[in-house]
Amino acid sequence: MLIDVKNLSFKYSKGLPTVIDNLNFEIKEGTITVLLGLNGCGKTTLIKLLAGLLDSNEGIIEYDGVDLKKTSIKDRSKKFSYVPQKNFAGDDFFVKDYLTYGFVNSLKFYESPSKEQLIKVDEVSNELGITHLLDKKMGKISGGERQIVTIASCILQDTPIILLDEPTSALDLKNQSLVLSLLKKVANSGKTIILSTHNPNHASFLNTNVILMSDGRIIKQGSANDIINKEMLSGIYGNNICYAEELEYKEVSFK
Amino acid sequence: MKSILKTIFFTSLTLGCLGSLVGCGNKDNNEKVTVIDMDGTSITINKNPKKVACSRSTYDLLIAYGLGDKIDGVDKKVLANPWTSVFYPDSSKHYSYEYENSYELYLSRGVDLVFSPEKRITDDLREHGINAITVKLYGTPTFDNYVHSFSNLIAQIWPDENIKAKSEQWNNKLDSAVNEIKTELEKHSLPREKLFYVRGDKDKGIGYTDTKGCFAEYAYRTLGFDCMSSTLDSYANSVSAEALCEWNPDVFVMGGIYQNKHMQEIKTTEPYTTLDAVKNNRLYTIPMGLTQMEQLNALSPEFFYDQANRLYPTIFSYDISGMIKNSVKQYFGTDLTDTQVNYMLNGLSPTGGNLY
Amino acid sequence: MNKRTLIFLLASIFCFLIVFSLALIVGKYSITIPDFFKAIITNEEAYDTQRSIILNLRLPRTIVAGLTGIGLSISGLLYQEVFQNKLTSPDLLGVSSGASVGAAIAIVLGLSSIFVSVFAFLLGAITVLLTIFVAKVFKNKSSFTLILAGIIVGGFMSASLSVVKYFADPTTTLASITYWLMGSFENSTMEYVYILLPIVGLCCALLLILSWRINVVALGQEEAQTKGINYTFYKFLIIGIATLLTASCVAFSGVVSWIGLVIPHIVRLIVGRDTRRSIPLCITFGGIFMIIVDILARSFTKSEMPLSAVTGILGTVIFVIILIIRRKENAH
Repeated sequence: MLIDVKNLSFKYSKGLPTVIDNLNFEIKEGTITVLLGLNGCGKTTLIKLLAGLLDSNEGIIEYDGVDLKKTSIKDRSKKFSYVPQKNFAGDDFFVKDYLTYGFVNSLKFYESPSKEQLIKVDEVSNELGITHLLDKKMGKISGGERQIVTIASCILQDTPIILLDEPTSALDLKNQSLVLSLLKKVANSGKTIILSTHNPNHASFLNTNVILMSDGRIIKQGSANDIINKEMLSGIYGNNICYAEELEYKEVSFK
Repeated sequence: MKSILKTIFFTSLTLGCLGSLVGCGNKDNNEKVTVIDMDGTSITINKNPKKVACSRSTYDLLIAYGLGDKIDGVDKKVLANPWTSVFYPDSSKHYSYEYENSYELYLSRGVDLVFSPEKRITDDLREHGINAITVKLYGTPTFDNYVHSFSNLIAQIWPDENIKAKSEQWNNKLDSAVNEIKTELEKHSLPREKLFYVRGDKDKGIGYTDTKGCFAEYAYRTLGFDCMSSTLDSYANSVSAEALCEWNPDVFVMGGIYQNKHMQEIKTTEPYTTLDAVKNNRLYTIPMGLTQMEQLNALSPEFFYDQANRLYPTIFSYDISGMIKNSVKQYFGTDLTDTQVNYMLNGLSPTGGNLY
Repeated sequence: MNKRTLIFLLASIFCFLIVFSLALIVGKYSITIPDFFKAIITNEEAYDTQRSIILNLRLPRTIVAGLTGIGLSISGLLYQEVFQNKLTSPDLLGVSSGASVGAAIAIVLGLSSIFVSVFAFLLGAITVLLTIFVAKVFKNKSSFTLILAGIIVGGFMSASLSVVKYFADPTTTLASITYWLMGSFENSTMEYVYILLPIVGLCCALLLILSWRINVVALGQEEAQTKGINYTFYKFLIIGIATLLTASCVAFSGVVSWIGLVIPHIVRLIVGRDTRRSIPLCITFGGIFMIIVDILARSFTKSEMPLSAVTGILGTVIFVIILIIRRKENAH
């Protein structure tokens, strides 16, 4: 087991409601796990706890049997890379420069990326088909392109686990398709992917492990087949939920 | 009968009241005077004010004319000057005012006239019903036409024959000093040298001077020098070291409480040490007394004589010590010792220490 | 470093040397170029005044001007990166306000100019510590909280300055305080250089070493930390360096506005946001700008113009030009 979460609880401050309430789950190496639930159910908080951006109040997160609270920032960054939901701070950076920031944890404080690392940037950019974006600024590329660039940066960071917080929430259908397809490809290369989403279609598309959450608790975890059904989802999304064939109008999704 | 008597009574009463009102009016007109202050503003005030608040530059001349008992108070810097209590021991009775005071303070103290250093302050006081007159340290464009202004103002406000005589006497004494020196200088046809006046009332370095319109500029120009202050407009009272070197004065005169400090500084600080005036030791100081003597004051005639001595030692040798003693006795009723006069001439305190 | 950056860097170093030399030659006291060389090469008495002016007046103040320009430009850049806000200036956390109060107190107490600088430095640094303390009270670690705390503490210091000014003698110290607040290099001596040079030099050296890493810090806490940077440590290190630079420069030159805001913008227009490129160029451009400002402030009038007046006029014009250029770029 790669990640083992035991009795994990978190609240932002004393007196505030519990956001994550006694979670227990495991994540296997080389899998894609989707955290599925409504806005405010605790998905982003859980992602941040896994990324080390927040410290849990109770419980532990183990990576290969080691409690992550005892891991330094640098060591953690060698295990987890993170794609935030939104980040506008990097708008003025060129894509080619941004990609190199994934190497920071392998460099000393006085170092900057080596020639070999710059070659690796070109290789990964080629693989992902974003070479044409390298000389553009992050703020000038589309949302989907930006997500792909951020994922490329995580690939260059070379961590076994990539965490993504709602990677498709602000994307159009075409870009959603691009990003999710990329994630499948990345998972096939041996990486472990954990992403949060509120859209059951994405979980369905990825056809992988799903952890269904509500109010900071896990309702059910299992395969996409077990979770993505009317019975399971209506408890979260309401009784109006239905499959596409039941719709009175044509719904467009992607293959 | 009763009604006739009633009519006569009330008519008399009415006439009597009217008469006394007219009389009051007439009395008011006799006690007022219209003066023009140094800003050219006309103001009508009561003559013979009994409680006057003085600015720094107005204190000593009022005392010199025998009006010390009319002074309620003066700027605190004057009272903090150790020479003040030496010249005029009764200064301890005077209230210590700030540079700028609230009109409520003046009202609470029953002040009926304020001599103010700035038009802004004067206007503000007048708006609140307090008689105020601007007596500036600067003339426009120069001080030439303002030398007798305050002296004449005193004689107008206190139109006493005695005071008028004192005012005329002081005016004449100053004019005599100036004319005597000028006449003597004309005989010698000396070239006009360049002079730089170091103001020295604040420790702002050698470049801190005064501008066109000040008494010092008038004085040194009258004494036959081209003073750099003549080229400085009102906002530029501090010149850079480079500008000073460019002017390259033949003579430095240093006034104020920091004059001795500046004297040492100019002899030891570059680039001033490279100037001819410093190399040739053409460095002079200005005596200190109740005021800086290069500002208009009761001892202004003595100031001219003293500077003539220092700047033209081969031509003039006035008995400054004697002159100062006589004037201080005449104006302030104080006998200064030789030692005290010597300290004055060297810009020191009454005990021979520094004034800062 | 790419070709464009290298060209601009070499050109700006060359300009810096030219401007520095110009500053030694040009001034209110006219010195011809032949006289300049005679004064510095020979020991002839005829050139004593020129030599003295060049070595004792212009040299120290030009060095101090250059160092101040470097310090304020770099610190402006650092604040803009760390707080991810291009409109921040070195006074964001209240350094200049605090330094102003310190200097004002020293002037009212009648202390000498070195103590004015010491007081300015100490109170500037204390103000930043106070800002950080106030930010902790909010129990929110975001940069916005720090900015808010800076505004609060800066406001308090401005009010304190008013109180100090109230107690200042309007005929003596008040004018001195006002003049100090507007900035001047008039009192610069080699002693100032000996103090400022190591501070600015060491800070710049450290920043050049960390220059690439600062880019990652500039991404913000989430991205920087998940990439392996101890964000809190680096944020406070960068703020500390920026504060040290600002407090030192303000202590010796008074409050000089605009340069910390404008120079980083000019540099970013040329080389983009990468701090590996922008830090070296801020050093050269900042130094050049400040020396030019000093030349303008001292060369044309008998009394020196306050630095903030010159930087304000130049800075406003340059900033408008930058905005117009940016608008055109964005339109394309």
